[in-house]
Amino acid sequence: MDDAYTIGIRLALDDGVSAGITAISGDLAMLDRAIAATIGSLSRLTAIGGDATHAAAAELQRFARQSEQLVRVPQPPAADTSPAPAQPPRATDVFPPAKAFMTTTGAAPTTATPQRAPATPPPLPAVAAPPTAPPKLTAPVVRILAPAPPTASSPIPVSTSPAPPALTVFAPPRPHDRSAPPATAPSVEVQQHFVTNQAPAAALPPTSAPPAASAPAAPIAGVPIAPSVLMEPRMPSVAPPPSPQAATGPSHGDVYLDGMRVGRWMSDNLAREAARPQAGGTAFDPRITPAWPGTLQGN
Amino acid sequence: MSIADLARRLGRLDLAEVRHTALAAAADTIAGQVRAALSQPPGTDHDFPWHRTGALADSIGVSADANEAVVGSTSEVAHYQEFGTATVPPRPFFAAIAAAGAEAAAESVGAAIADAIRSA
Repeated sequence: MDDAYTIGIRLALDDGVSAGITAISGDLAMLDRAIAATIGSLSRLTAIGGDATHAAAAELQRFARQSEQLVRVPQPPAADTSPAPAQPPRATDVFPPAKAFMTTTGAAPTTATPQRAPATPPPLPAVAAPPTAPPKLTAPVVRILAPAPPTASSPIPVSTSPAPPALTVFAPPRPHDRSAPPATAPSVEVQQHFVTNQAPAAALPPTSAPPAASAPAAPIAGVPIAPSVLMEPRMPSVAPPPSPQAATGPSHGDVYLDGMRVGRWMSDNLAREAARPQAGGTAFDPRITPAWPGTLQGN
Repeated sequence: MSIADLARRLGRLDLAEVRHTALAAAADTIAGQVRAALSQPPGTDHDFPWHRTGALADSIGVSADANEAVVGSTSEVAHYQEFGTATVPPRPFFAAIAAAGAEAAAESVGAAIADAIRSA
């Protein structure tokens, strides 16, 4: 083309547009086919979903009609089987005192012995009166109010138990105490083990009694278990034997969270072991390396 | 316009003719700039060859196809002026004009191809 030219400027075009358009055309055609297939599938899915929706709507309408019929039918008055008293509880019943006390409801003060409350006004089915001592209806009625149990949901205002009110000590549930109620609020408890040079005590409290090492303790029913405890292998509850060099003092302990042992600490023991002077070499010993042939040794 | 229509239109697009036309237009533009540079009258301080007879300017031609375009001269004087001789210093005019107008030429070719795709 430029053979006749002795000198000139050449404008060369590096065409990548045509190749790109060809590739895009192929991709667009493939996309068009995919869209067509998707539209067909969506049409079938819409048809299936429409049938299912119609059936579900009819079922829901039927349920709605049944519920309306049930609402229209007058309900017979339910028998009053609730043992709760008709009168609203008094403030002293809702918030029982922390200490037992005696109140008298009568015409005049009396020196008679305290009697239990009669069963007729508000009978409590949960507490049965002993057959040997039936309640007597006397003029001055003396009612003994005991401190409410530690359940905050439904405090029992009046107790007809003949047992005298006893002092109750509330303690956080122990992990081995299966009869303890589930805790309502998380509580953290740290139990420490003291290592002494003396002989261990003959009788240990049941809360610190170690279970069998071969049979790990099963989760206590009703006690909330932290998820991390379930995911991690259970650590033995028995502490390792103390070192003979260990001095008296807390060496390790268990950490309880909401009644479950979630960890163990032994920082003091580790710190003591780490503080020991080194007993081994701190540098490379060339005397134990193999000698190459011809190497002069000794002198 | 559906995707199938777009693919069909892109497949029918003839970019070779568009490229040929765009390259020819860009080469004509550069050729006009070269001829303008060779119009300097003699006797003045000049960087380009003087316009003595107009033969050098008349020798400038353009040829183009779909992939390339050439702006050249059929005169041997153009070669002498461009690179110089033993007695004449070089006064490049093709290289200077090409360096000055290359970017505009490329933009014009790209715009023409984009317009063709957009109107497809």
